[in-house]
Amino acid sequence: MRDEQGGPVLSVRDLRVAFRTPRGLARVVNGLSYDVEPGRTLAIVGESGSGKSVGALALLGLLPGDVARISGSAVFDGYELIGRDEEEMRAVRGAGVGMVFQDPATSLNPVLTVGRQLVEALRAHASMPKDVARARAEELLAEVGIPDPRSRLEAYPHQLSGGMRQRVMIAIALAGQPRVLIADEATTALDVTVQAQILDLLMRLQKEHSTGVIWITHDLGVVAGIADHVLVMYAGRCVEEGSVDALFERPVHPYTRGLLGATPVVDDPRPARERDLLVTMPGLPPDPVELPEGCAFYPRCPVRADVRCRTEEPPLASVAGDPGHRAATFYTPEGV
Amino acid sequence: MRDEALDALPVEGKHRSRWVETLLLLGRNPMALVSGAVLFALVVVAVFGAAVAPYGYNEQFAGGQLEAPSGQHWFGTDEFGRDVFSRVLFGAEVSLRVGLVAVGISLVAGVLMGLLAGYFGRWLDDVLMRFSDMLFAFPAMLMAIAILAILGPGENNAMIAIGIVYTPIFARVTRASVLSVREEIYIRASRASGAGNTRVLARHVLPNVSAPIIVQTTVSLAFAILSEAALSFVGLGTQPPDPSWGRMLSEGRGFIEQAWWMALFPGLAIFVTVLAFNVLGDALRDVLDPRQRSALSGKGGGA
Amino acid sequence: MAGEPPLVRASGLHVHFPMRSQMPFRRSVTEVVRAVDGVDLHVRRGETLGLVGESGCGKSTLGQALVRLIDPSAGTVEFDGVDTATLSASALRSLRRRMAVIFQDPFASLDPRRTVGDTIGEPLAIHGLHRGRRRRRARIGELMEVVGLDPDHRGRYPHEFSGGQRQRVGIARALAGEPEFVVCDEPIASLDVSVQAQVMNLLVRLQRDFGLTYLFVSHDLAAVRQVADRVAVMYLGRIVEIGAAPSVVDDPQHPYTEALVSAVPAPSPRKERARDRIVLGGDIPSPAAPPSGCRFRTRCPKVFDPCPHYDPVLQPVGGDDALGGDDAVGGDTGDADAAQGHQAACHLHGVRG
Repeated sequence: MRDEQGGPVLSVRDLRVAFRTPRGLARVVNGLSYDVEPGRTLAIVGESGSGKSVGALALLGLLPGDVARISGSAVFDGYELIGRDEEEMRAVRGAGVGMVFQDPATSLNPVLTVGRQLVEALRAHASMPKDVARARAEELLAEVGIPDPRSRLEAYPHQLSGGMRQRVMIAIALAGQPRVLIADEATTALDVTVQAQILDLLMRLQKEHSTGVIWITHDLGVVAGIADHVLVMYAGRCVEEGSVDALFERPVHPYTRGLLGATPVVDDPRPARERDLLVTMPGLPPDPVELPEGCAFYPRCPVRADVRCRTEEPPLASVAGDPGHRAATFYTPEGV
Repeated sequence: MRDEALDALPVEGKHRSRWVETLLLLGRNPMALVSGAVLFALVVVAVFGAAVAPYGYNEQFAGGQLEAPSGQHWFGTDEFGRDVFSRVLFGAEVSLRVGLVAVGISLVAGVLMGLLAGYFGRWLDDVLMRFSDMLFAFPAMLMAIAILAILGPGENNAMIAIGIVYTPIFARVTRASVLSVREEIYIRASRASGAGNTRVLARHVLPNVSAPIIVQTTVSLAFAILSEAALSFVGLGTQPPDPSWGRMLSEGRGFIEQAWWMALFPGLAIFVTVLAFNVLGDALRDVLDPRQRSALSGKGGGA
Repeated sequence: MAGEPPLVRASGLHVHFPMRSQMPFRRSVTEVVRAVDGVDLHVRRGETLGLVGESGCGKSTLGQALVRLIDPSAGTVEFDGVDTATLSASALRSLRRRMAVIFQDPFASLDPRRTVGDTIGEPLAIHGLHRGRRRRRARIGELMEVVGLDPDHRGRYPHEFSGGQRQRVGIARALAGEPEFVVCDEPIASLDVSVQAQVMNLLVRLQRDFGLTYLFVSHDLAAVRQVADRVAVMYLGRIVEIGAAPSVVDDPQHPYTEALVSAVPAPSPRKERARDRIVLGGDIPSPAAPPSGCRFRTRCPKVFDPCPHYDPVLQPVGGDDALGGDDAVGGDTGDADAAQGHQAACHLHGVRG
């Protein structure tokens, strides 16, 4: 079943998502392409409204069909995901592509026990007798590091801490032994020490099962720690992508550079009053209903390097001398 | 009126008062316009009933009992040969007044109770809400009859009785919303600025609990009109021969097989009135909410 | 710096929330959540004190108790030398002009039914400042400009603004009464990265321009490090470490602070690979039933004999010993001088309980 030559397990090409709204068509994802390799982590970074989550939900057919228009291609294990009906998608969800959401408090059903929800997830993917499913559920809870898994099967979500609930969500996502796991801000709602636990857990599980992971987040710190490849999104487009080292050490796009400059660091030894102010980008991301002509970042861009910026959308082009590193900007920073 | 409203809106209305804007927005909703027109017509009829009605409400046509609707008697005649159409017009006054006054009483008393109980909590909540539970536990009609037994029969006392009976519903609806609004951070923020209880209740809590109260008001208006009917039926509300829709509906029931029009037309009047109140209430609720208001007037959020 | 009395001082502060049963007329207490459980703290005029900790540690409760939005169960809060517990209700209300709070969630902290102009003007109306329609309008416009909003938007409602703009409205409201002390309660937690930076820079500028004193409450150690002069670390209702920000964050002396610092992801793959992350086991215990002795002992990688038996107090650490360790013990009597140094509540620095 597995690709012998080790090619990508998921290939997304020119994915576009638009929503019909009373004010017009909101173009939320505008031509997104990426590959997910088994055992590797692709981080998709962006701020709210950048389209980073919508792009993932579109893959799984989780967007409301009556208002969302999806085009492009997403091939999972040789199987086209875009344009499938609900029944076909159900088979893919969980078994092929698992998903972990941000808020563990609301993604679990509060009136069902953890065990019941896990057993349901297991039996949705493979027909198995209840007691087998239950034993497997216990194994899964143990695998995600929940102490005393047998008694926790009887627990209701509110009886667990946030970190424990997120572990349960991961167990549910793993129930179908997915080859791709999409984690949408999966640790954002957690405290840092708990986040550290969950990151450890996910990295271990990824290594054991050689799962391909799409990690969607706004948190550059987390990305630096876990990603192999990073894709930065702005206004529904990829503005820069590259290996994690290329992106953090040699960022090219003014937006990526702005994001990095806006992130405070712990290990600058200067006292607060001697530190430089954080880099800020004025203004707000564009309205997806009225995307500007030319570069979407132009109104906030501190560089505006080229006359073409206002009228022409910069293509995602390779950065000279840096294989695999691409940026959608007319600007070339000095010293890169 | 409607075209005017549509034309006026897109103009920058920064200095227009909120009330005017509310009315203009209401005017953009066709359903609200129709309901408003119906209610306006009802008020006109209630005030000028005597002038509009073709006959007196107590005028009897000898030999013309239980006549089916015709060109002469649009809604037919009743068992005494009185013109049902005229009586429906006269009845509008009684029914509207009883409905509005009774609901007014329960609105003021209930909202006040609910606000205090929900906001201050503790013993005040216990006392007020247990009292309201006690009222609530009685069947509504039995309660109203008991109150009228003390106060004596009559239209005014019926309004008071109905008002008391519907007070606990308002208290409950208000309290439930206050309990959630009370914990909102903007309430805390207002207190952090130094606001006292009165200010918090009047400026923040009340406006934010208004939506369910408006809905409850329109629902209660319907029930109040029907309760008046029931009380009149047992002889404790409007006294014969005065017409009220409720009375007419109740009396018409006895003749439903011979003269369906006796019950149908007053019933229809109640139905139309209640529907109009409901539709207008819903529209008002939407227009009073700034979030809905932007959606209605087409201003986008998240500028 | 030393001689001046602190603007805000908490001594032996406890905030306990009794959980009551819902039976009418007999609301007996079922358990007591000890959100703040014995805190001594002072904030100096003009400084930014960062208060960090994870959810449920009591940091927001402590912040709100310092401005008396929550009444302490025990202990005192002094503002500018006055014990706030001795003030009448009306005196406390007028004191509110001198202190302000910026709340976390800019979506929940603004009344959806009032225009932002009304919201910003509320403190003015309450305290009778800038009387007269025209003058108040001008003041509201001025406040909006100060925080970077267009004064022409004063008639708009909160939902018409973005998260960052709403937070600016919240900041303008906090500034309206010209306060001296501002509690920033997770002011950037629900904002996007680029907007977080805008808001942090704005707060820094406002402090400089108006000489504000901040308590910056946050779970984000990097953000706290960016703006705070001193840092206090809170765990389960207690301050476990406090001192100058570079000292506490760069050289943590309490095992909890150490774990916290090591868990903060750095936006640099090189540093991330080199990092030796301390992953704590387990969850934070319930604040209704804190462990005996040291509260951190159930998760502490360095736990040893005295931990379950003695409740550690804040004591000077590292090079600050010269300041005179004994002064700091029993912090409720300690003066501003003794508390200036780096202190940690851990038996590793000597068993004191």
